Amino acid sequence: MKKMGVLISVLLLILVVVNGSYAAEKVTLRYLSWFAGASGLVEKEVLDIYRAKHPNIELKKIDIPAGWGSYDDKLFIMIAGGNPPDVAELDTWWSQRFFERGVCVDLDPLIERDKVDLSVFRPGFVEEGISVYDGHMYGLPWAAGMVLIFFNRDAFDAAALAYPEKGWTTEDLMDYGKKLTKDFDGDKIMDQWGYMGGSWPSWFETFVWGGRWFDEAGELSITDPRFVKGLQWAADLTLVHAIQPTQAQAQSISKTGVERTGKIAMWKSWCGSVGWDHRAGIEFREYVTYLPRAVNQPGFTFQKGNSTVILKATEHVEEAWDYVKWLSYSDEAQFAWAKNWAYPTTIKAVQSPEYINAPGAPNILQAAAYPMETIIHPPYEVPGWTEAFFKLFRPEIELVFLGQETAEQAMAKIEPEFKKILREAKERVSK
Amino acid sequence: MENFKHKRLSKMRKKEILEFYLVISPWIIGFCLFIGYPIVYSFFLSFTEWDLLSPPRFIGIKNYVELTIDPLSRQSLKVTGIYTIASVFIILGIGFSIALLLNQRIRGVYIFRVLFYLPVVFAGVAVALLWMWIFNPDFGLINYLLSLVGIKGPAWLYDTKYALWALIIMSIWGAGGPMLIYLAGLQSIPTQLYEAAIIDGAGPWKKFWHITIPMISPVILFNLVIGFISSFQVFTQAFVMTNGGPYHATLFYVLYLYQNAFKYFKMGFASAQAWILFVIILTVTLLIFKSSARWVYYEAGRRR
Repeated sequence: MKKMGVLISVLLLILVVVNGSYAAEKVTLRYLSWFAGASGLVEKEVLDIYRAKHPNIELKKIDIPAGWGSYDDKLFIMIAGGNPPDVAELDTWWSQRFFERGVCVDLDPLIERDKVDLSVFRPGFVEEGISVYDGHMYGLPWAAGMVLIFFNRDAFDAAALAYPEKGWTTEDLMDYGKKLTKDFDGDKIMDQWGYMGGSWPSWFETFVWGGRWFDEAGELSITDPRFVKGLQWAADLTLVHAIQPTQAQAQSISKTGVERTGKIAMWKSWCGSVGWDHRAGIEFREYVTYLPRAVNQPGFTFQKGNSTVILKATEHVEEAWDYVKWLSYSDEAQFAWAKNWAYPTTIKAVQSPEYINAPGAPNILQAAAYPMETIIHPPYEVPGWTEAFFKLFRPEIELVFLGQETAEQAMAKIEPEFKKILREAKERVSK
Repeated sequence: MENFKHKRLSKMRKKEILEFYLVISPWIIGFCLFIGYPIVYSFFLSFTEWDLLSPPRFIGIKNYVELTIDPLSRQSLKVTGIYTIASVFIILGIGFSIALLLNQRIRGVYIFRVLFYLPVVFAGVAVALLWMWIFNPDFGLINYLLSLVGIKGPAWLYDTKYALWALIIMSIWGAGGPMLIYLAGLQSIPTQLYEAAIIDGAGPWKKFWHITIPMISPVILFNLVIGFISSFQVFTQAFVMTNGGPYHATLFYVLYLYQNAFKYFKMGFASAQAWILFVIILTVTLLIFKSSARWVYYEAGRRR
């Protein structure tokens, strides 16, 4: 009887140990990101490396059928519904709203404990408005990038024009645009447009003449003549100089991907998209250069950052942190990303020969690897700014681009309401 | 004996009542959980400030006050009002006209009925994308047809003056729905009424005005009410085609409600918007019903 008792105890012990170790091996991490299609394939390649190296972690990618456009809604609802992922990608357009609501894990103690060297990241990614909120770091940078001017080499070659280079100006852009806007067959419909700012909501133009969203005292400064000048310049490319198609004309060329139709000579885009196009098998014929600067004004890099965060509700903070660290910080992940011409976030990877001299890649990778000294991004960190941008700024700019009002009138019109939204958001956050 | 019978009946009645509630209980539970509770909760939320993540904070009637002064709320009401009035009457008129034509005894009429109803089957995002091409300023079908008669068409969806009218024109796509209901109504009109009218010497116009219209008036009322309710809630077209632009020209009320709820995370404000919309729709529906006593004819006498 006693022997039987010992046997049962041993068996139970084995069961507990086996079960325990099994459970430890089978930690499931739910990871949310908007990458899909070609970008999803690039991402999967990187994630598969992690999966192979971490058999004790089951990394489940959650797909968002509607993609980037409905990503923040989806994440908000998942959190509110008590079903958040463990780890999520955040675009800077929304990240601050999640940070300010305290749903992400403060990474400062983990960074300090593991002695994570933040200087390995590209400048501009580890700062307020990107991965930092209220002085605390809530995310590590990932899949971030910069806005550049892409240009169609064929169009430049046909017009016997030298390619634009670092240090070129807005006047040069205008000059190129005029020479490259062409009606080849004389039917009064443009067959090639010189430039297209596109729908990319970066509005780098507002910064070109020294304008800023907020002045040094932190006051909204959208009526500042320098800010207004940049906006009006962008609209006048269509209204006065006719080198840029209207939104309607752009849609007539192509509903999507108008840039690659060969009917646009220069356009503004995000450098990381090159990686997706490469994976999708699109032949890359264009070259890339830096944003133009205004005469007598310094050049700058317009930065756009994404970050990977850990949601507070996770039961696996350590495993999630290990994954986030691996994704953003490890050479393994960064070089896998770089290999696909996507945009790595560590200086080491982005300036590596594997990235810069990737076979078949044109000069984009070099341009992306060495940003200008001055790095600028929109004031995402200001509570209420995103709401006011979409609610007031964007619709008003539509009128400016239709020539129904000037940039000066538009900014003066929206300024009071813009300030009201900012004030209310500030009050909300302070509560 | 009488007493026994009564008692027995009462037992049966009780059993029947129990069975009744047992059978409909899945629906009652489902309704209470998935419709009743959210409705009541949204009413509560309309008096709060809630961003989905933090707990709701009671703020009294602030959301309702804000609604009256918010310029975009006013704009969205204006846009929705214009769209509703224009599209409902256009759809009812066109649907009725098509139904009259399809009520004729002609060869192949069934094919035409199918063809005119077919657009209703195809709806949503795919149709919105199709209409974007139809309204394309350079290559769209509408501007091409206008160019044939020497008219340079506008930029439609990209023009603040025409964007809303483009969506109103697009609403004709849904005329097949009311058309089918009109057709059913037209076919239920007793033919002897027309025969008697012919004997009395009535012409086509008199038959139409004094028989068809009164007899079909309950159907017109139905289509009118349904049309108003659905037009007030229009969303997909604007969401897909214009996202409320250009310059809020197509900012429909429900689109703005969605933006407040899921883009700006103002759930309390969006709930208040939803309740105001409910009150508007209820008021309009009651007004239509009240007016119907003057123009709707019920064969079995006045409706109570």
